[in-house]
Amino acid sequence: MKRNWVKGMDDDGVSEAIGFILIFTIVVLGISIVTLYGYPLLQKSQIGSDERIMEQNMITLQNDLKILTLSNVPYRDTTMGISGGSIFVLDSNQTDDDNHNFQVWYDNESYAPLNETFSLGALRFISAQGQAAISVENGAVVKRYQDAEGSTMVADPRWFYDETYDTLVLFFTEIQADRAMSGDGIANIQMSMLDPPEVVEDVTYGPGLTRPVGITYHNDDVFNYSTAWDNYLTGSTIRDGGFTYDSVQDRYEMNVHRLVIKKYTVKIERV
Amino acid sequence: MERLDDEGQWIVLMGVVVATGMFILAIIINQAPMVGQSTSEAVLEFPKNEIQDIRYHLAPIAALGNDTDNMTLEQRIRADMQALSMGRNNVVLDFDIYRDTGFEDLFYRYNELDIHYNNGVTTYDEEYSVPVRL
Repeated sequence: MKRNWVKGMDDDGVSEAIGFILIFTIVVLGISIVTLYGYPLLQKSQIGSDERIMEQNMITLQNDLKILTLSNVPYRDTTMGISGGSIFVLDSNQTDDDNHNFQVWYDNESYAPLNETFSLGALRFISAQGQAAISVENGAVVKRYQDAEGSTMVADPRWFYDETYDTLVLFFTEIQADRAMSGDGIANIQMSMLDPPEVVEDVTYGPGLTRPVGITYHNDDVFNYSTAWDNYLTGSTIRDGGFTYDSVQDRYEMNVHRLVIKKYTVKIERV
Repeated sequence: MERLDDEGQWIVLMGVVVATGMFILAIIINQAPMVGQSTSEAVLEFPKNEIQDIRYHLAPIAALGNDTDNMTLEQRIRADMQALSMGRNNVVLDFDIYRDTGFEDLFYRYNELDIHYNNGVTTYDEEYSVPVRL
C-alpha cells in the first residue's frame, strides 16, 4: 500500500466508515433534539402569535362596529385572515337563552325605578389548539383562557361620562344573525345597521339632583367575561373611581345628574 | 496532502450575516402589532364640522337680548340641541350665554357663548364672542 507521509500527520487507524457513522450520529441526534424539544416550543409560539393576530383582528372588527354604529354608516364589511381557530356569530336570542345580557336599573322620574334588559349577541373567536376565547360583545373586545378563571378587556366600549355636566352615556350594541354562522381561513364579515339607533332613555334630573344608575352583567356560564367587565366598570376608565359594586343588589352603581342610554342593533349578514 | 484553500470563507460569513439579519427582522415584525391605532383614530375623528355647525346655530341665539321670550326660546333650543346632538352624534352638549360681559367697541357689544362638547373621544370647550350691533 502506498502511504502519504507528511510530517506530524499520521492517519494510521483513521477509518472512513467510523467517521461517517460519527457524523451521521451527530446529525440524527441534532434532528431528534430539535423534534423533541424545539418543535413543541415552536408550535406554542405559533399558537401565541395566532392569538395575538386574532386579538388585533377582533379590534378591527370592533372598530368597524364603532363606525357602523356611532358614525351612522349603514353597511360595512371586513375581510380578515383567521388563523388557528374559527370565528362564530351568536345571535342575541342565543345569548339570551344563556342568560347572558346587561341589565340597567335606573330612575326615569316615573313611579318606580325601571329595570331594562339589553340583549348582547357576540362575535367570538375560539382558538383550535390553544385555550383563548376572544369575543366582541357590546362594543368591547374581551378575552379569556378557557382553562383559567379570569378575563381581560382588550378594547373598551365607548361608554363615557361627562364631568362638566355630570352625564353618563351608555351604548348597548345588540348583534343579530338570522342563522348560525362561522368563519375559517379568509373570512369576509358583512354587517349592516338598517334600524336607526334608538335613544332608550335621556333623562335629566332636577337642578342639582343626582340619582343612582345600576348596571348588572349576567355572564355566560362557559364564556365568563365578568372579571373583564368588573375591572372596566370599577376602574377609572369611565370616571375617576368608577362604579361602586353593590353586593346586595349585585349591581354596579353610580350617581349621575343626566343619564343617556342608546341602543344599536347590528345585523351580521354573512361570514 | 493538498493545501487548505480558504478563499471562499466570505461565503460562510455572508451566510451568518444574512441569518442574523433575518432573525432580527423576525423579532421586529413580532413586536409590530397594535401601535398607535387609537391615536390615529382620535386625530382623524376630530369633529370639526359638527362643532362648526353647533356654533353656527347657537351664535344667533347668543346675540339676542335677555327678555323673557328670549329666555324661553333659549331653553327650548337648549333641549332641542341636546336631543339632536345626542341622537345624531352621541354628543353631550351644553352651552351658556353671558350677556353682560361689558366688552364693546365703537360699533359692537360682545356677548360670550360658552360651548361644551363631549362625544367620549373628544372633549371640546370654547368661548366664543358674539358681536351684537349697537
